[in-house]
Amino acid sequence: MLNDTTLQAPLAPTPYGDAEIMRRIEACPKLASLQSINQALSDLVRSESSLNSQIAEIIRRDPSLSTRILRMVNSVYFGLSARLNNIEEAVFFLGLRQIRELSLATPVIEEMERFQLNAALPWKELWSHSIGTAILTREILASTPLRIDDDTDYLVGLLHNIGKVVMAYAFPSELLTIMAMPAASTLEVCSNEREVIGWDHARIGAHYVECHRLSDEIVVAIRYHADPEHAPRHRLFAAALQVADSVVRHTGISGGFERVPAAKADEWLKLEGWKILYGADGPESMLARGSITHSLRHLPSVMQGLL
Amino acid sequence: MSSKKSDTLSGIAKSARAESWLGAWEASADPAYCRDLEGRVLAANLSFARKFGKSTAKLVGAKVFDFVHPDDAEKLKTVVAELSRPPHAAVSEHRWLTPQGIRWFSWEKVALRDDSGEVVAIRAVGRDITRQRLAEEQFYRLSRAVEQSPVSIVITDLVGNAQYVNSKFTAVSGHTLEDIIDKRIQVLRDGHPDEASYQKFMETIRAGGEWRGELSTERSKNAVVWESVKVSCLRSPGGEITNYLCLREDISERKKLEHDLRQAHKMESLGTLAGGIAHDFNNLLAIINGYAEVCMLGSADSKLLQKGLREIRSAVQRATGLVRQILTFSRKAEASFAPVELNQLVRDLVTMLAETFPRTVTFNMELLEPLPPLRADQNQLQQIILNLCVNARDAMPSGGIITISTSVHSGADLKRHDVQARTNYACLKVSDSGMGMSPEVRARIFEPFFTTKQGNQGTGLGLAVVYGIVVGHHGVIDVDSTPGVGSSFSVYLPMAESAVVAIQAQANTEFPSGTEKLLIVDDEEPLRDLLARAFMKKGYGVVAAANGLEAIDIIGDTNRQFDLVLLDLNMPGADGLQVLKVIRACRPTTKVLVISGHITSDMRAKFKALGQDDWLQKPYALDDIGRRLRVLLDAAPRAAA
Repeated sequence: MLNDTTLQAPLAPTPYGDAEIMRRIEACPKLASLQSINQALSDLVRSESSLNSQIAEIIRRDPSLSTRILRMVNSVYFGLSARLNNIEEAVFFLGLRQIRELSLATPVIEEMERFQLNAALPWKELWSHSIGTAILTREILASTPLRIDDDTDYLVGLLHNIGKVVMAYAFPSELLTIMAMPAASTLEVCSNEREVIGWDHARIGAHYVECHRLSDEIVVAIRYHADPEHAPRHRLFAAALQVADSVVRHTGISGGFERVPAAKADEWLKLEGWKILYGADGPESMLARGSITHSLRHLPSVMQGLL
Repeated sequence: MSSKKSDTLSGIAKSARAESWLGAWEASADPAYCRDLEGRVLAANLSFARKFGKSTAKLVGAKVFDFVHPDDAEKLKTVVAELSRPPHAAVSEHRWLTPQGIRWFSWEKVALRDDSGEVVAIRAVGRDITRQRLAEEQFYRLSRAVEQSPVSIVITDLVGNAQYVNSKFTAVSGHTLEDIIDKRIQVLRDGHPDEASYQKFMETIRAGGEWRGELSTERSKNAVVWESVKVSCLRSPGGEITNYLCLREDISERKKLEHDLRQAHKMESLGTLAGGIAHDFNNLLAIINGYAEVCMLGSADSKLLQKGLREIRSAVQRATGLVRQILTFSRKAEASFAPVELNQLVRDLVTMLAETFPRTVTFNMELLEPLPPLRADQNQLQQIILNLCVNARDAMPSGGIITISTSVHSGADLKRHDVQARTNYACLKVSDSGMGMSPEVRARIFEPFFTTKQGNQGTGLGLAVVYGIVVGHHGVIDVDSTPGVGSSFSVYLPMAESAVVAIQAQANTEFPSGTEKLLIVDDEEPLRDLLARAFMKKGYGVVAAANGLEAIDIIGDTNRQFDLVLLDLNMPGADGLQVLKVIRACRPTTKVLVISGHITSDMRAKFKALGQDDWLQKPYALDDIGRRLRVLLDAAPRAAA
């Protein structure tokens, strides 16, 4: 586990101990997927002629499915080589039938909610936010000296709010409490989470993907996506994630399960992540601003029809 | 894009030096080229030119689509749209037509943009991935084949964690790979009855060996699946063990069929046996009938009368033996070992078989006398003799001689077989003067279901059953056959260390008397009366019950005393089992002797559970029952449970 030194809730007493929180996270069943995505996937895998790239394309839209498939491939090939972080390669290694079985065993959010007394949660919003952040994180990281030839850059974005999905399972009533609490910023949401549950969604999500044998870059980036400055390693990933998260919020796609006002334009320039990525006000920063403005224009059309 | 602009671009292409398009890739060992959006080559490096057998200068202006496999041309066009979006890079694989033939290439493409951000050209750096591609195609084919296998296939790592399961495995076990990972199921352990068995198995495969066996697993409630399992190692090209491969084939159906066929074959043998017995029976009935008529004539000579009755009694005893034989044979009884007179058994069976076999087949017996008795299962020995004789008969369609001989050999004589040198073996040899067997047939005769008989005449189990029985008796079997001369089968069975003498039929003497009180429970009135009268005559006190319910009343009556219950099994109302339960509950120290015509092993187990071990088979001689009863009464008192 990663050490938590800086994100400790300052005053409020911790309602759950670390051991209990971990136990709940580890006992968390298969996370559910959106019906539309699972439907698209099951249509694809039923045909023998589907391409791995098409299947991977669908799986990449779903944080739950992506986590499950990576966990499976990393369990199967555990110890043989490096962790696999490429969805398409995972599809290739596992084979079409395993993906078909995966799809068959996928709990669907819409069906699950029918049996729950909880008010319907804005799942679709959370999914959109995850995909948008994934696309932007990848673009931002492409502008850095890092050379990434698998899906790590995309996955950190896709999975950064997986902790919120886990919370819906492991701490359902606490989640409702948190959603009802006022919060002016995402940092306040995090502090509310720590106050009610003990851990915030970043820490919960990081622990969850760590249990699923996902690679260290992803674990650390998720853990520190609100505080990249303190990431012990892989700071560029956490920084890109923080900026992407903020940019996506500016487009009006909120982080899911929260009611924080949309980010103002160029708010991300003040973020720690921005400084880590581009320095204070150098020429790199100028270029990056231009590039992000460009990406922002395209984002809605890129996201169209993904869900 | 306007034609004017593209003209300008091609103008640039003609004038610009190759490096300006290719940059660092100009000298790259990987083939690299640039093309405009129309698909015209703007520049190509040396490596690219070599691959396509042209000079770099000649390539400029050439159409890329002329080099690309027609089926992949569409893919090449669609990539343009992808490149116009950030991050303006893409990877695609397609086939190219080279002088070497069709080759697969993987191209990393980057869009080259002008100052306004418009894409003006595409730079592609490629790698020949033909070999990798072929390997992938082969992988696909083989994995599809494995997927469709009717055998469950599991690949694990060296600790036993599943890395692959095929669809048959999932269908049989109900576990998908995700399940197995989630629930940490140890797939290799599945079906091993205990830890010791599993450890031994792991030792074998860790040492690089192959393990084969049959395991049964309870897949769902009450459904036991039998599987033939083979586990072996997968090795890297360097010879290191990298994985274990476990193949499991469902053989439940085969197991059941084998069992059914074995039973069917027994019934078939039973038919042969019954034919012989019917004949014997008729003889016995004739004897009984004859002497009964003589007695009825009312001769005054009491000696003649006595002789007639004695003959009737002895005929009945033989008939009893026959019925017992046929009953035990038809039962799925497990072997029970007891001293057996082999020579007598052969003589009895030959008498019977001589009656049923065709007249053209004659028997010749060469029996060693005296032959010490064997410890064996009489029924199974009979089955051996019967099956060998039937085979001998079938080998001689036009008749011949069957020679049956017995002899004794020391284990040292049989060194070629894996036997104990110190033990003596009794040999039973059955020879025929038939057509003999070819070496190929001889090699397979003990395989189950192997038969040379036409149509439905043989099940192919006869010799397999013989083999099974011989092995069960720790014996060996030897075959000698010459085509055209005949075959002989020699069965060697170990003799007891100290020759056990078969219990001689006891002389009919009067059974001992006693004064204890007996309760006789039997719904058959003549039998009940007979027993009551006989025991009263010997001084015993007797209470009789005509059925189970009456018996339960008597047992419940605490004023009554008795020392032993003679209990019949099959009765209307409450049966023997229920009566016994009441006895055990009310009078736990009272001894019980159960009498029955036919006890199934099921029933036997139920009685065993109630602590009941004393049985008497119907029909019985009064002497037998009298002695058994005395022995029981004289034995230590029953301890209350």
